[in-house]
Formats: sequence, C-alpha cells, structure tokens
Amino acid sequence: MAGQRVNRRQFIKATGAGALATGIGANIIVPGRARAAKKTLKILQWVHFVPAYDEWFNKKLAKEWGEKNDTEVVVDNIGIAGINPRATAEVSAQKGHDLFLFNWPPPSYEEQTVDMKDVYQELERKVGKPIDLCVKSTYNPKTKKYFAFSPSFTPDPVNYRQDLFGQVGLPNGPKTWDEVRTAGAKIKKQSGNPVGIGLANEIDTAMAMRTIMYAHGAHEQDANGNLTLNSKETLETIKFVTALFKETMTDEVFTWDASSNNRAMIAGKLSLALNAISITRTAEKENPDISRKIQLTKALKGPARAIGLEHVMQCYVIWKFADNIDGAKKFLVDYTTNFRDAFVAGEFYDFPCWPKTVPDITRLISNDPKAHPPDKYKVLDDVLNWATNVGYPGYANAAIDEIYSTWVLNVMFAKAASGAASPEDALKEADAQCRRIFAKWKEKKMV
Amino acid sequence: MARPGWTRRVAGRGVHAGVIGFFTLFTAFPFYWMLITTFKRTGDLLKRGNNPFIYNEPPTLENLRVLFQDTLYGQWLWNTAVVGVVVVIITLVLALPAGYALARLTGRWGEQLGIGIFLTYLVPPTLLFIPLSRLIASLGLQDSLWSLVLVYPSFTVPFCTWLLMGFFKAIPSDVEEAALIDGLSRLGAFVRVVVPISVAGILTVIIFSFTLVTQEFVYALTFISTASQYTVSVGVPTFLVRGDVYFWGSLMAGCFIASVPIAIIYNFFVDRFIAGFTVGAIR
Amino acid sequence: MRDLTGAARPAARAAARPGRLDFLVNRRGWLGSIMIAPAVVYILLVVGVPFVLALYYSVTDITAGSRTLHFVGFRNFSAILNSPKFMTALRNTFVFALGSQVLVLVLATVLALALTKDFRGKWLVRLLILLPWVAPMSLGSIGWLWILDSIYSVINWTLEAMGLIRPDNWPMYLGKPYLAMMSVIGVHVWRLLPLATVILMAGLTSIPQEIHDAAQVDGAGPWHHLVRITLPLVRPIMLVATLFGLVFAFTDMIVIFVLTRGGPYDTTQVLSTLAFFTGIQGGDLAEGAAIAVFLFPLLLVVAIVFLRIARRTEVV
Repeated sequence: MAGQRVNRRQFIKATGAGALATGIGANIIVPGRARAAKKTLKILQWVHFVPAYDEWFNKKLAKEWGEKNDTEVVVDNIGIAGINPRATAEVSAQKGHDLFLFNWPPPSYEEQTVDMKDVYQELERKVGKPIDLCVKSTYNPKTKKYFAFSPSFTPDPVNYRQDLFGQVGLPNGPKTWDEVRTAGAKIKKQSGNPVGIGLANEIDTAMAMRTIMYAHGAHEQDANGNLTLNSKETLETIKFVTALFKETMTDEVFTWDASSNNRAMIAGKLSLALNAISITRTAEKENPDISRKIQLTKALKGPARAIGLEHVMQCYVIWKFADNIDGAKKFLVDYTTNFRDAFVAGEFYDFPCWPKTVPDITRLISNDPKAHPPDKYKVLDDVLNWATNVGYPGYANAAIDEIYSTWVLNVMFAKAASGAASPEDALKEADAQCRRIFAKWKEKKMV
Repeated sequence: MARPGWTRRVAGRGVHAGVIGFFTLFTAFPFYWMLITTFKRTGDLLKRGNNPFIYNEPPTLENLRVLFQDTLYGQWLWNTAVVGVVVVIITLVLALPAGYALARLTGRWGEQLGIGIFLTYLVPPTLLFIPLSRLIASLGLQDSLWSLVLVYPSFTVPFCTWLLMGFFKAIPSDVEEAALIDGLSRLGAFVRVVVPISVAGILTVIIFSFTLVTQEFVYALTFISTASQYTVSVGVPTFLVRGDVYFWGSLMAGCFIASVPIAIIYNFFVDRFIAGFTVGAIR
Repeated sequence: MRDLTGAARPAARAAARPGRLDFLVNRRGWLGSIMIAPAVVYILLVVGVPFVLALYYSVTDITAGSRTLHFVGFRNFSAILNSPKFMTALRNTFVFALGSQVLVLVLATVLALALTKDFRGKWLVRLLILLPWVAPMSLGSIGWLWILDSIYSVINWTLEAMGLIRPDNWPMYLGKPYLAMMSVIGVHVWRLLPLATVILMAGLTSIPQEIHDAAQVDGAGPWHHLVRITLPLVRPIMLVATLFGLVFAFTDMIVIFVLTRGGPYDTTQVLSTLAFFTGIQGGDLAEGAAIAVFLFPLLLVVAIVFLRIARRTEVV
C-alpha cells in the first residue's frame, strides 16, 4: 500500500530498504503506522563512504537477518552532520532507534546507553579478543561500563606520491616525520607540490595533529585520564608542525574541509596527505593515472614511536529506552561474527576490531583487482597494531570528546603555524581550555 | 546648453546599468555556476588547469541521473512542497485573525502582545530542537513530515502575525464600518471585506513563510531520519556528501532545480506584492 | 496614515451600537481574544514551553546524553565568560552580524533604487536577483564552498586568466582570517540581499508621488532628495528589514557551518556555531544552552527599540 505511492524511478538504490516501506502516503496519512505483531529492529547509521556498503547492509544483510530472526529490520541512513543532533533528540524524546551508530566514541551518552558487557563477552567467546583500540573507545574505566560497542574502525594511513618521493630518494615513501619535513621541503622546492596536512576545523586535521603529537610523545591525557597537554613534548610538536607548515605547505591548509585533501591529492597537487582510503578509492574510479602514483604507507615514526589514528570509529549504542534491546544485541553479535562480509562490501574502508572475524585479511587486501597495483592496501595488514584512539594512552572519554569537537587542538596548531600566536601562547591557551573542560566532566563524575 | 544634460543622462544610464549588472552578477553567478557544473563530467571538473567556463569534455547527464535515480530527489521536492503549502495554510489560519485582532480589537495591550509575539522569533533554533523533540515523540510524529508541519509555524507565525497587524492597521476603518452598517457582524466584515482586500499582505505571508520552510535545516535534520521523508535542504547534502567525497555535479543540480522554479513564481507575485503594498499604503 | 492607533475608534463606535445581536462576534474584547487565542496558544506551546526549558538547561548541568540534571545557578555563564574562545566568538558574532547587516542595508537601498526605474529586461534582472533568496541555504552554501575552493575556485581562475594574480599566489578565501570573515559575510549578504531589496522596494513605491513632486518644486537636488526625503520615509520599513536580518545573523549558523566551521583558528567562530559544537557535538548541553541564550537579553532590547521606532513612524 505504502509502496504504490512511491514512483519507481525515484526509488533509491543506495538506501532503499526503509524508503519503500514508508512512502509519503503512508506516513502522512497514518503517522506511526501500525505494524504486524512481529518484532522490529530499527537501526540508524550514517550514509557510508561507499554506496555499495549501504546497498549491501540495507538490502541484503538486514533483510536476511530479519528473515532468520522473524524481525522487520528498518535501516535509516543519515548524514554525518546529523548524528549528534539526532542522538540528542532521541535521548530527549526517549524514543528512537534500537541500534544507533556513532562514527566516533560517544562517551557523553553513557547514562542513556545499555551496558554492552555481555555483547563483548559473547563475542570474545566466539571470535576471541578485540583490539585495544576497540575497548579504549567504548569503555569507561571510571564507571566500569561499556557504553558502546565497536565492530570496526577506519584506518588513517599516510598517502604519498611515489613518483615525487622517488625523485628525492624515498621511492617507498617517508618512514619518519622528519623525513616528511625534509623530503617534503625538497619536493616543494623542486616540483612545487606541497605537503597537505590540514590545519583547519575539521576531522582530518584533528586526526593528523593527534597522530603527530602521539608520535612525538605528546598527549592530551595520561593512561589514567589526567590532563597532560602542557608538556615539553607538546611544545616540541607545535614547533615541529609550525616548521613543517612553513617548509612544506601552503596557506590553503587553513581553509580545508574534510574533502579538500582528497581533491588536492587526486588533482595531483599534493605530495602527501593523511586520510582514510577514500583518496585512493576515489582516484581508482576517477583518475587511474594518479591512482598509480599514490601509494600508502604505515604510521610514521616520531621521536617517541610510530603510531596512527583511527579515522572513523564505528561505535554502536543501544539506548536504554530502545524497544528491542535483545534483538539489537543479537544483531551486533551476528554482524560482527560475520564481519568479513562487511569488510568486503565496504571496499576495505572498515577494518575489524575483532581480528579473527576476517582471518584472511592479509590475503584479501594483498590482491585487490581495483587497486593499482593490486597489493596497494597490503601495507595496512598490521594496522591493527599501530592504530590508536583519540585520547591515547587513556580512554576516549567525554572530556577528550569535547576537546575534539570544539577543535581545541586544531586551533592550537593552526594559530602557531600561521604565526597568529607563539607556540608557547598557543599551548597555554589550549591548556586553559582543556583544564576547564576536564574539570567540568570530572565534576560530572564521567571522567 | 542641451549637451551637459545629455551627457549626464548617458552617464546616469551607464551608472544604472553598471549597478544592475554588478548586482545581477553577484546574486546570479553562483546559479550560473551550478548550471555549468550540473552537466560537467567529474574528470573535467576536477582536472586542474581546465578552463572551468567551458566543457573540455562532452557534457553529461550523469549527474542528473544520480540525482534523480540514485537518490529520492523527486520525493524530497514533493515533500518540501507539501510541507511548504501546509505550513503556509496553518500560518494564515493562525496569523490572519491574530493580526486583525491585534490591529483593531485589542487596544493598547494588543500592541504589547504584538511585540511579544514578534519577540518569540528571536529564540535560536539551535536550542529549541531538543525540548521540541520530546513534544514530537510524545505525539508519535518522529520521522514524519507532520513533525515539520507542527514545528515550522513556530518561526512563521510570529513574524507574519506582526506583519499582518501592520497591513490591517493601514486599511481605513470606514471599509469595515460600511460593512457593519450593511448588516455584517464584525467577524463577517473581517472574513468578507477585510481579508479580500488584504491580498498583498497575504501574498507576503505566503512567500515569506514558504521560503523559510524551504530553507530550514536544523529541525529537518533532527526530526527526520527516514530517507523518504526528507526535505530538499537536508536530503540532498545527506546523500550527496558521502564521508569526505562531494558529488559536486549532483549537488549543484539539486540546488539549481529546487531554486529556479520558485524564483520564477515569486517574480510574478513580487510585482503584485509591491503594487498591492503601494495601493494599501496610499489609500 | 500616520495615526493608526486612532483608526479603531470609529469602528468601536459602530460595534457598540445597541440592537446588534451576537455579542461574541461583535464585542471587540471578546472577539479579539477569540481571534488571537489560537496563535497565542500555539506559540506558547511550541515556542514558549521549549524555550523556558532551554533557558532552564542553561542553569543546570545537563549533558547531551543524559536526562538527570541539577540546578547550578549561573555557573555556566560565568564559565563561558572566562573562556577566551567564547570571547572570540562573541566578538566575531558582532563583526559578522553588524558587518553583514550594514552591507545588506546599503546594497539593498542602492539596488532597490535602481530597480524602481523602468528598463528593458527588468523582469529577468529581478528574477536573477531573487534567486539567492529561494535557494535552500544548505545547498547554496555548498555552491559557494565550490566557488571559493582552494584549488578549483572559479574566481581565482578568472583573476589568474586576467593576469591579476599569479598561480602560486592564489588568495585562500576561507583560509586567511580576514578573507574568511569577508567570505562568510559575503555569502550571508548574498542570501539576505533579495529579501531586503524587495522590502525596500515596497517601501520606496509606497511613497506618494506628490511628495516627490513637491520636492522637485522646492528644487531639491537628487542627493538631497534621497537623503532628506526618500530615506527618512523608508526608515521604518528599513528598521524592520534590519531587525529581521540581525536576528538571522545572530541565530542562523548554516553559512558558517558549511563554509568554515569556525576556522581558520576560530576567527569565524560565532555564538551559534560555538553553541552547536559545545552543546551538541561536544555533549555539554548546558553550556551550549548558555552560549545560545547569552545574547537573548540584548536581542530583546534591540528588537523592542526597533519595533517601537518602526511602529511610531508608520509608513505602510
């Protein structure tokens, strides 16, 4: 009945499952239409990087799981900008979806989410232990609660131009941050291609800056959740980024949004960028020439260690007010157990937090017919060992989340790099903000 | 002696043309750009050094195909229109009588109340959506266009009531007196006499409200999560900005197609709106 | 035309005449209350109650993910007042709102004056000028994002083709603090200009021709005519347009949200975006609420003053 009102042509391919069932006619005439007695499971998640993933999830996985479990599975896809507002609204309304996917750790929602301990236990029994990053992003040691569940994360590797780095004697790309600085400067001088690490208020910058910080031994907090931003190491990092900017980059990094480094890299302008594998995937589709030149490399070494960040952290929560808590948990267990399907459907964007779910991961990523060369993604085989969470070495707690969301560190680095403030002043200002934020959340007893 | 006058006239005309040209360029250029981008191949669009004004590769309909076939764009246009029309009707139903009452029937406290109603317009929507989501859920309206129908008048009614109050005050009261003498009740005079001569005011309200509805973003973003229930302003960026990849051609097409027809319709009405406005004021 | 509060008096006499039946639809007080009730009830329910709740949030410790809250007094306000980030945002808000409003007023006046003349192609010109007003702003801003892009900016390409800038020296519209502020102001002006122009055109055409004629007879020059006669007569309607635009600039965040998200390094961060990032993205709802309502008293005063002036010197 509902479907007839929807024009076939308009029927969305990418995100169809929910759409057909709720044509305008149905909802306008009977809001909250009555459903059959069988159970429903309502899932809300983002519009995935890869349209094919949504297609697989909504049309195949959801449908098959629903048939097996006698449940009607409804999947709603929303934009990344809508996730936090929507979550706030659902909490305020105490109504919404059974499974809600955040693309970053959602510690401030802890009060309203179901403890996922049993999901973790069930999965540990089935597929072994998760990686540390997974726990660090979803567990609050202060309250001893798993406020979310993470099946997967998106790595944030270094993309570099093989041809350009080859010209300065590094055909396999840089291995250390110092090499990025020296080789990047040479390349910029020789061929005019700058390094492209953002210094703007956006996610790629936030991740890249933390990567550099952690590699230099600078951290927002220690393992126990005490603020440690104001340190010699942070100051060194700021000075390094300032030098890196001056020697290898151009002003445009201040203007960027999350998509800019993709475009600049594919346009052939940049010598190096940090991002999810969206750069290489897009290049494969749009510009095979450049795709052959862009290669990936593992986390770069700094004075302290070689470490990389997650780019996107998939964290499912189940609201305490959800109607189908058991179904949601079962779905998570089943989805994660069979994560290999998701890994393939998502074109390797999402790596497993539970390594044993994709036992042949090395083989899969070593031979991808789309990639130039087919083993381009092989360098990611040990990403599970070098990817970490925002807030390393501590947990991704609420204070860390607010520091991240209000771009405190982005602004700190950008101010110093642009010369708007000295490294010392930039650090002092950021430290004062972090102090305030930490004090706030400590008082709320969530950190 | 005629010469200076002539030069001045030509100069004046030149300045006039310059002013018009400048403003038209400023307002319309982005749309011209959207139109060009709509038919560009991605490779053409993203090749550095390409002349962006011309088609370096043959034009394509692919972006339009993506927009109409891979997303529910047609549905979103329809949704936007439905919400727009219903909200306009609700706004008129609430604001017409209220504006009239404030102008004619309530005296001094009406003035205060009028300003009070206008002031609710100052409340920032970034904040209101949180408590409002509770209201919507308790009415069972989440993920339905009806939630927007319920909430959108909150930013149209205050301003429109206030606006209509001004219009009604400008209508000479002998118009109604004549109607009263003819035996109509005051309510009858309002419905049969005052409303028909307030077309200009009503048109303003329609245009104004409809525009605000098509622009709204935050409420639509938070109250709706079902693809088929989106409006254009949320649906298009949701499905055509994927992670960090923008589908420029389709995005631009989505904006262009949603804007131009409305602008054409408005352009017809703006004429009447200004004329009516003038008539109302001079009488 | 001027004295409109008196307009109701003769009507009152008419309504009070004895012998008329059905006092409910005739008695001014009753009918007035009935006619105004639906709007007031609606506004109280959908704006009033949530707004009071939102105000309440700003004096509690609520977070985005919780429903338990405690009254904490004005602590959130004193906290944000001690935060340099907030002070920056406050300053930027005024630069953004006042800057865009002044520009809108000046440009709309010029444009409205130009459009009151008759010329060929006026219909088309007006259509083109109306366009930004009807574009869904989330998409219009994305259009500008593309036009101001750091690599593909058509403006820079054109300037380079004209030999005005060098390829290695392209201005980064969203990357330099002052350029970024000018860009977001520019886009905001772009979106508000059509409405302001239409309102001003209505104001201009509502001035009776006799007044212009009289000025002509008195020998007023064009400039004098404009400044002394035309502009004062459209002042009330200009005030309304300004107020409307100011409210928009203070509360609407979509332009900045799409174009800069407050960057480069917080130089375009305004209160509405900061409230969103702090309260919704960052999870501290209470502080976000405090930021969002911070300007409310000020807006209230401005609005009341504007409306009083506008109503006192009624033209339309």
